[in-house]
Amino acid sequence: MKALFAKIGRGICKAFVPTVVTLTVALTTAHFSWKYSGSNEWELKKDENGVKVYTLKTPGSTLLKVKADMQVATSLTSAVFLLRGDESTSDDFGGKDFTVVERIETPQLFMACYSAKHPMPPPFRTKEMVVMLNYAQDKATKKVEINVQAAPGRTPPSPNTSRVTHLNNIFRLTPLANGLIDWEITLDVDMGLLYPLANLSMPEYLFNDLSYHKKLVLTEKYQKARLISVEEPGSPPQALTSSLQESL
Amino acid sequence: MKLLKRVCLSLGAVLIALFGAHLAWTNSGSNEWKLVSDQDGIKISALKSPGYSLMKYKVNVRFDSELPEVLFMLTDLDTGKDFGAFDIKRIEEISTPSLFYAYDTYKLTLPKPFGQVEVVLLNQCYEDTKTNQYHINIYAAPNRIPREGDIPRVVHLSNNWTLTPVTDGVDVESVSEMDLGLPYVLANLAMPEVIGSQIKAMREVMKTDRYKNAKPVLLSSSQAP
Repeated sequence: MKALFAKIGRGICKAFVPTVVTLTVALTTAHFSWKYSGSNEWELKKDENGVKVYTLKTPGSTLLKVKADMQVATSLTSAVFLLRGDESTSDDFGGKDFTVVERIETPQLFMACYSAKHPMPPPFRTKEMVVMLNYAQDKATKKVEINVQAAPGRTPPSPNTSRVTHLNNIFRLTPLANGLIDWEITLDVDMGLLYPLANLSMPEYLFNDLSYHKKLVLTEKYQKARLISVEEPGSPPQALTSSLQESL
Repeated sequence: MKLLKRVCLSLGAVLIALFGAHLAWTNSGSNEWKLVSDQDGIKISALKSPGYSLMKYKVNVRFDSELPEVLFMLTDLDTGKDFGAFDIKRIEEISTPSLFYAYDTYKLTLPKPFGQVEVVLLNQCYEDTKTNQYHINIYAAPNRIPREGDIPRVVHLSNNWTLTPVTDGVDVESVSEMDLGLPYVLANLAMPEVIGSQIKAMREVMKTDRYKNAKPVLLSSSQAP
């Protein structure tokens, strides 16, 4: 019996340990090679049905940044309403337990903190996003840039969820001379997936997302939206009064 | 050959032990605040959440200063100079009677051998008119401006300040979490001391002329509370 165990032990030493060590060295080398690679420039990955998808690799970061761009014939207000989120639109985006933590909207700016849960496939925990959105429309060009930042400390931790701590997405909506809206989304988010998996899936995810937005924004809910913080192209600048509409 | 085998076995055992310890630590935690330090009127609590390797920290302290002075210190661009930041720039500032927010960038030098980090952040401040408390929220915004150079940029930073004016000063609560790129074991061990020192430095700096009777942007565009 002792001899058998000794034989098994020797077998492990001969085959298993060198394999593990070789794999560890190879994976570590691959990880660091990938991490410190990158041109820091946007590279086109897909151009289909009017949606262009780009990726950017920054040296020092394992996750890719992903950007997608398209042009849509819709009002600026409908586009902002879709991208900034709202209780009435959360069902369109698959998140659960959508909560408005705080919101301030005036003719000059919009700021809101939302939380929502996103179930993930096993073995990953449900991801909770607590994010801060803000924009202040450029009243000269009418351009709107919605900045979304992870705000993981804004509310107390929730049990059985893992909160996203690295998220900085930017949504740029630019009215064009031909009446269309240039719709650009940049995603930089760590959902806690393995980074090779995240890097492979994110470009396709964003392509599908924008293709969905293009149809969704034309539905009645978005077309009827009216926002005090957004002026449509061609409209004169509103006079600011002291009666600012706010909700907190 | 025997020596090589022993080295390989030892290395394998160490890697497995480290990986096991990492998983055990990451998945541990009560999600509740625990007091870790109470010195000179500065209470520091730590919270470990399952799924995170870094801890969150909460500070409760009373500043013997006026509310506008504390607001000024926490929102003025040049405050960073008193705390070791350099290359400080304001990227955008939106100031209204009800809300102030700004995107700022600066660099920090970490203790050797860790080098420099670049921070791009959103700093917002507003009053909750129901409670008369002021909230200052600071979040990492690494994509607000394009990257220049090779200095790593902080992607995980969240710092929420709540200021409550009281008769003899301002009660301050700060909940913070950040990843400066240090090994998490080191960061978790060092942070209570670092935070305590920062708060003490804030109390000292507010005694200087720059902060005495200072007016923050938010209050200068509306009435002082």
